[in-house]
Amino acid sequence: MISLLFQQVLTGLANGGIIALIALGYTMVYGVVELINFAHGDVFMLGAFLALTIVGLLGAPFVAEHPALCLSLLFVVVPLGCGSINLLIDRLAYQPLRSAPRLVVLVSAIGVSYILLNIGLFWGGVPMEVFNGGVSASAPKDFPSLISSAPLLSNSDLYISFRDLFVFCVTIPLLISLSLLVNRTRFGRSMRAVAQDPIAAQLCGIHSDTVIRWTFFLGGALAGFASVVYALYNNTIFFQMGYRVGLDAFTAAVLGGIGSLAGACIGGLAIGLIRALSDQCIATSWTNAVVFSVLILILLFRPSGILGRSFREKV
Amino acid sequence: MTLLDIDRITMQFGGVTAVDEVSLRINQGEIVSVIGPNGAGKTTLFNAVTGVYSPTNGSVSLNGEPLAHRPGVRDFWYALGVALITGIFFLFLFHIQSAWDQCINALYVYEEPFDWLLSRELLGQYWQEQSWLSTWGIGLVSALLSGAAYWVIRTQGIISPERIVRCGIARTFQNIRLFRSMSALEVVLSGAQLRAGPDHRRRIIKESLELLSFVGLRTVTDRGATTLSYGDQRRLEIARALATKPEILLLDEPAAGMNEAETERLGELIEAIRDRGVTVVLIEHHMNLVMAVSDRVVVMQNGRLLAEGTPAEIQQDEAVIAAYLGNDLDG
Amino acid sequence: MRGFVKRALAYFHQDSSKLIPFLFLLALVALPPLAMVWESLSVFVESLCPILVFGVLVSGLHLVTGTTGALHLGVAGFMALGAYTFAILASPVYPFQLSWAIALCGSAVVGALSGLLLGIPTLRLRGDYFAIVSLGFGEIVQDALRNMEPLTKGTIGINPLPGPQFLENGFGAPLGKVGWFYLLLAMVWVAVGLIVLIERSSLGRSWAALRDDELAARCMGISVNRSKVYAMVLGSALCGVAGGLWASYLGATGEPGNYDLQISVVVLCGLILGGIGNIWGSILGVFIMVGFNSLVLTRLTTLLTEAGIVSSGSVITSPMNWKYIIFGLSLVVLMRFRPDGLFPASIRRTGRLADKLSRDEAVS
Repeated sequence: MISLLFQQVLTGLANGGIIALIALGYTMVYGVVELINFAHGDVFMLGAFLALTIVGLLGAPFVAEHPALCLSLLFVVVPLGCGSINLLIDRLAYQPLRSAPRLVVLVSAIGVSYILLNIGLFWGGVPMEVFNGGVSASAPKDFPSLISSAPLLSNSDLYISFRDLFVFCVTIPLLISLSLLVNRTRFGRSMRAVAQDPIAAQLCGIHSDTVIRWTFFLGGALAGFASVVYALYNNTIFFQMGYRVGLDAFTAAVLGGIGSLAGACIGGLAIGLIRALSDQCIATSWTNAVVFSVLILILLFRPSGILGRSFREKV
Repeated sequence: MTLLDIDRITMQFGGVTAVDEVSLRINQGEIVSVIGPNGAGKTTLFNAVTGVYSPTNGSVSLNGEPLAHRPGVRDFWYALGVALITGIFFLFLFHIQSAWDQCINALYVYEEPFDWLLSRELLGQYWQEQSWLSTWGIGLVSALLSGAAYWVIRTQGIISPERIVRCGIARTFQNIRLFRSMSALEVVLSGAQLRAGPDHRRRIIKESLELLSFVGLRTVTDRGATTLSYGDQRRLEIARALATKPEILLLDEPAAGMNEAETERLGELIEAIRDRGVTVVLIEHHMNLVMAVSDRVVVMQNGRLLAEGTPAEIQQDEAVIAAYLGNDLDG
Repeated sequence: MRGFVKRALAYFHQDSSKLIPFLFLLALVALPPLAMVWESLSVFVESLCPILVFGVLVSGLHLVTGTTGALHLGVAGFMALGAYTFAILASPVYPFQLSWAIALCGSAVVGALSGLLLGIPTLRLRGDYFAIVSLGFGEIVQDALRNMEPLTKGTIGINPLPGPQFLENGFGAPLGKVGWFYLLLAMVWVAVGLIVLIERSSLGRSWAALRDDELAARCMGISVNRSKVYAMVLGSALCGVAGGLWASYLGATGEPGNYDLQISVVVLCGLILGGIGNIWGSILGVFIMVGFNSLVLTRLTTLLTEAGIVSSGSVITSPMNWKYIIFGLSLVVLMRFRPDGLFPASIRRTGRLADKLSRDEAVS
């Protein structure tokens, strides 16, 4: 019984870490431009497809012989790629609409999300071996297990595997370095300034546009890290994975307080746990509804989230 | 006779006290001006009085009646209603599947007549079989929670702008807030429909047209509200506010951006409004206007009332002169 | 009658935003007779029927998004609820077996109640948050319908479902293609007519006011909360009716997964494409949006398959697989260059009565 609970909690926290990384992307972008980047989940999805492509290009034997090298390559190329995609999205779709009403930009974000979704669909049809020859583009693809799922503690009831450890070893340092970046560096200060008041920040000599672009890049990069971790942890990717995970991550960002980075982390872990516990105690088929209900309840009773601040309209 | 009684209103935003225990009495038929340097808290005071902000402290009364929302019997019934509906809803959600299985799916044969009486009996049986917790427990808990939540939210004493307008206080805004998808006449109608029933369309159109004539916008009734000139837009806002048939009208910098001639005409309009029976309170920076129309002038600085008196008295007041560096007061 | 015609003429006078779509809808009335003459048109009579249902659906969405400006991403949920309500009430799978019309009313009622359920708690929410909540609502409805197997038969859905029984016809589709076409077209006209009437009233004015500036509307005594709830309830009722019509036309509800976010987004896209705030434009917009998907893309696929270009192995060459990117691109491009849509809503005016009173006054 305890081992089952422990297993659930562990899986929940591991998935929660992944969700937290994506939630950070949502909350950072919302902080600087007050936009829910609907397409963020799909950037995550494209990252996973990019990872699989790299693995495919390297070839199975190479990957089997040099797993560490392969991993490092993935953790460099995919975040860079996702960051660039996010940056491109902002440049093309959001930047021209900076002064437009919020709902117009939101609709545009939905549009971008669909475009990326279709790109994912096409990507699944690329005639590479890793994509099963591109035959059924919409079917899920297997991701090779570079990290073993063998249990670490062989003689105990508690089942931890290398994978779980791996997830924590990636997400925790990332979160720490992000926190350092935001709180201790000049760029981080600029980010916080632009988030509070873009015009005043400009008056202080901060290039709001540049900061916003870097924020998009950073958010995308985090999603890139998350996508590699997800692919390695779950061993499967499919072109609609961005939707579900994206909504979970958005819920996490709102739960923790949108605009707050620590909140996104807490929210991510919380959502991961909620999912795991709901799977166990209620039923897997109701878990999505449970997560949405959590979202709705927070938005109704405490829209500013756990760590967020409330807004006032100036009359 | 005191129309509006503002009693020690305080507005605090986090660490900033924008309005600090301001008390003010407005009498019927007066024209009172509120002046003061920028950031003195004048608009915030207006917002606190009209329900846009909820005062941190203090109260406002109109004709002796406080404007705050007191929890009443109606709130109790609404809370009960919310509780009932929520309780039933959650009960339904929890039990519908098994009840359905037992009472309908088990009994019904495709396209054969259905025994409704037996189904009712089975439903009764089903209900008996359930434990107290899963029936009354769920129902009562959800009902209580939602009813309590509703009660708490409703009785926070927040007074809404809609109620305040209904009581008879209308306002205009510092930054013009018109409805950009409407014509000028429709904008005024949106204020007039407050006091009209569904079959008074003819009457409110007539009244609105009359109001538009009154403020001098007779010729532009069908133009889009935001296509009008700046001065016309300000007057349209006034017409809209007057359409709600207020007892007292709060004007927030109505002369902002106007030249001498327009300001003079505005002054005449304000006096005409007073002659119609509407008490006027205005925030203004145009001292000519203030000194010309006001019966009384109130000076605010840093959220506090600095001085109060007739225009002549205020012009001599040393504290006021000190607050205002410069010779704006000499007209 | 003459007064009505005069009022109608005044309504469309000098307003091409409303006139063009109106003429289009009018032209549809003539389609079946024309199809009897030109055979090539007859395929449209059948394929336009589902699109007409979407016309009713977009009317429901218009009542929320077009009038009050609240972005609603969950209309598919209300549609699903309406479809399943109709199914439970009318299907021989369950003992109720009410008549078609009553079951459809049931759809409307359930839709309205769900609208109340979603609308009241979300009154205070800002625009983008409301969008997410409505999206979540649509998802929850889908999951709930899928899970409540005893009622909804899970992923199988409920079938068979009856069509309208005017002449004691039994069921399936007794109306035939032309009958369904005219029935659905009539429902679209009824929906639009209702909307035009409501929008002319003070409720419609309240909606316009709260869309333009909610705070100013509140400060003029407009009961913003009440107006929002009315919009939600009426809009959801229409969406429920659309769902009932959909289920009845298909003869089955299909699985709950059919009523997903994609439907909500397509309808929203059509609403915006046609002109947000202009019901006539929105209907034409939905025709273009959905019509493009179901008519153009399928025709294109058939043509390309016959030409031998489309093969099952390659995903890019089949036009059907391009539909997401077309949706997405059209949304992005629309928002960038023409956020007001093809037939932008015009300034709200008071119309003939005001002119008449105005003239009376000038004379006196």
